Amino acid sequence: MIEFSTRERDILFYLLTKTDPVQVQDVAETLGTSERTIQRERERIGQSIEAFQLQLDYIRGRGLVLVGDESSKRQLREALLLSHKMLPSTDDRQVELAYRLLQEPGMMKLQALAHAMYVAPSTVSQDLERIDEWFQEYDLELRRKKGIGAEVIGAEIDKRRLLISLIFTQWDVLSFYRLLQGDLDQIPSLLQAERKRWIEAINQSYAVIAPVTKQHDVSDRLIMRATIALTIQALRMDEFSMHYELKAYPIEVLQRVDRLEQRLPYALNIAERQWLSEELRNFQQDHLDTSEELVIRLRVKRLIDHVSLLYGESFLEDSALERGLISHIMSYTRQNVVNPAYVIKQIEREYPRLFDAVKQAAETVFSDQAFADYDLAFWVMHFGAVLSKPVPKTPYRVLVVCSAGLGSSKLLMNRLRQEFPELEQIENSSLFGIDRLNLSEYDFVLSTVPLPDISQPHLLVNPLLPQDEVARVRKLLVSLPKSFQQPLRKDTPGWLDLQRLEQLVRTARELAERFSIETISSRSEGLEELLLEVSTVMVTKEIAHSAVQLSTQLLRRHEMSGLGIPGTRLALFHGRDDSIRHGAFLIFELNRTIELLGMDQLFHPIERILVLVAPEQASDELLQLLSSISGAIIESDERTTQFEYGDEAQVKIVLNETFRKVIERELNASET
Amino acid sequence: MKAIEIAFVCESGLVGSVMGAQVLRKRLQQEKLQVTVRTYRVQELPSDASFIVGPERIIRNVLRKAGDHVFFINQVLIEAAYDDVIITLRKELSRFD
Repeated sequence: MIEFSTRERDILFYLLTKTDPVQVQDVAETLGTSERTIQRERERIGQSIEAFQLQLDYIRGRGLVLVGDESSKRQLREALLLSHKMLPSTDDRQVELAYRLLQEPGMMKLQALAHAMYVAPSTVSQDLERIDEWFQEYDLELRRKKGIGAEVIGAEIDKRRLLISLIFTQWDVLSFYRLLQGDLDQIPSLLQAERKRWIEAINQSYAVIAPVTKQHDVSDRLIMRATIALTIQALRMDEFSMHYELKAYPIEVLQRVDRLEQRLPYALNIAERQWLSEELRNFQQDHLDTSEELVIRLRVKRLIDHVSLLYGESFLEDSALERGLISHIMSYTRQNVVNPAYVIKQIEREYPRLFDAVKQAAETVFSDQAFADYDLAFWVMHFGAVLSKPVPKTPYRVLVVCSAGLGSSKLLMNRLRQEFPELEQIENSSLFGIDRLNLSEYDFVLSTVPLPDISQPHLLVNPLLPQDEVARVRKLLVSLPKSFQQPLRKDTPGWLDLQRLEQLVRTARELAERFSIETISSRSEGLEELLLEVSTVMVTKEIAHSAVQLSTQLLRRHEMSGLGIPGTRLALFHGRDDSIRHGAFLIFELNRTIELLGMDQLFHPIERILVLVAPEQASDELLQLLSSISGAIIESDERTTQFEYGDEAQVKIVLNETFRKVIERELNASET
Repeated sequence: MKAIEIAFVCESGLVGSVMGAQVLRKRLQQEKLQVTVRTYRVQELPSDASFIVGPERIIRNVLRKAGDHVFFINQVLIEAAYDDVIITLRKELSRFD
């Protein structure tokens, strides 16, 4: 079998995913190395792939390309994959670097690191930059001195946690148990340098832990984690001291620590006891906690690598894919209520080859964790989503069912819209009505009554959709990464009534132009005189024919019911009358306070009078716009204040915004 | 069954009904009831309106049919004034559920 170096592998792997020539610069950037390195490798790669009847061509101006037929490429892909496991990848190298830094109490020289790891100092430099974020995630600081070296600053407890994670990236539960059973080659290469110490310590730790775990139902993974935690303690406690932090632990945890300590050949100080308490706490909660995210992340990266190779298409550039897979695996639970058989069938049909690729890759990468076809199907969907780009994600189509198809499903639809804005198409049906519907047009079905056996994913929910059910629906949504449905063809928008729109816009403009804030300086006491003065202004502005008639009308309205708006200094006089020539909205600022009856039938001090009038025969458009002003006045406290105290320019802005909404509604009317 | 539609009536159809409808709609939204509210000038109230809300002095004389619901709301800006409307709506909606 042909041996590939890590770099050769990376380059070939990248080129295999491309059919067009790739600029050397792009290859270098993607692989995080220099153009010169790529150029240097070119010749060697050319020789290595001759055996596969492939050629590495360089096309001037366009870049590198692999030339050869598909079957040769597939053979190369398989060969690369086989060599994949044996060679340390870039990730492995970075893990090793982090591990070495954590093992050192002080500054580590770049030169020494490079020498120990058989890489160039510049590579170490680059890697340090990459792994910086790992340290940050564990509240550690990777302090670097340019050209000299690097040092890890932070608490011992965080260092140990990162160490455990690093070991987990390189070691799975299965080979860990093989090691315990005596297969010493199962130790990861990361620990190879101190092989004897580690094996001894691991065996000792496991002997201590095993009896404690037997009384509880603890997963293999947690046992492995606890063993490694205890091992790291044994190896580090003399050299690196832990700091104690006052903290409370559940009594069961403390009891467990006691039992462990009794079995240990050495004594623990209080800080070391705390370390065990921290670690053993996890025994109670059997799920992947956040400290394992790094492990998952590196594995997901490797999974994406593998799938890209097997499938022959690059999934590397899509960071959303990586994030999606990670969060999927992290939140992985078996409680999804979706009909699994249905999902698997659908996925297998949609991406037959991808399904195989993902399955095969998952077996290699996650060899210690068994994932059912059901889980893999979701992973495939994540990958599939990349393939089908740039098609935008289509909104989910949901069917809501209740016994009669009216009240409770409406209620449920409302709740769904509140909680899940992404559900753009929610339709409802009665239980008996679903026979008439083509259910495959929906992504999933929610029902308030038990449903007959249907193939679609479905949930039975309470129409009030309490929070725990929201969580269930959310889970269902997460498990459906993208809608299966083709976007519905939008109905051709309805006829836009240009005449009506023109009328609306013209009326709005006229109202805005007629608006003003006038000051009334009437010295007289009575409301009658005041209203006459208001009406006179309206006549001079050609809004009304007769000041007397208008003021009488306004007074009558006031006498019929209060016009003061409670809690404000405003009164809204209004009316439709023959004496009105044009619709208008005006504000009159009074120079004194008058007591007027309010809409709540109580008297209020009023300092500003708003007047809203329309002719007896008014167009729909005018009425619509004037109504929108009434609505705006009490729309929100902020709006009310603007009408109460705003100057002419400010109120004009408010009117403009209000009219805009009316006009926009008109434009959208055809769509709804 | 025809969806319930509330007719909010006032004299001019410009202020009282608009403001009242706004308060009522907010209430309906809080109660999670999906019901349309339309505003009408009293003389333009359609004859098939069956769920009528407005100040007593305005709708007192509106002609009623059997089964109509008429609510006198004199304090249109007060949310609590619509309690009866909400209760009746609930009952109506659940009849068809």
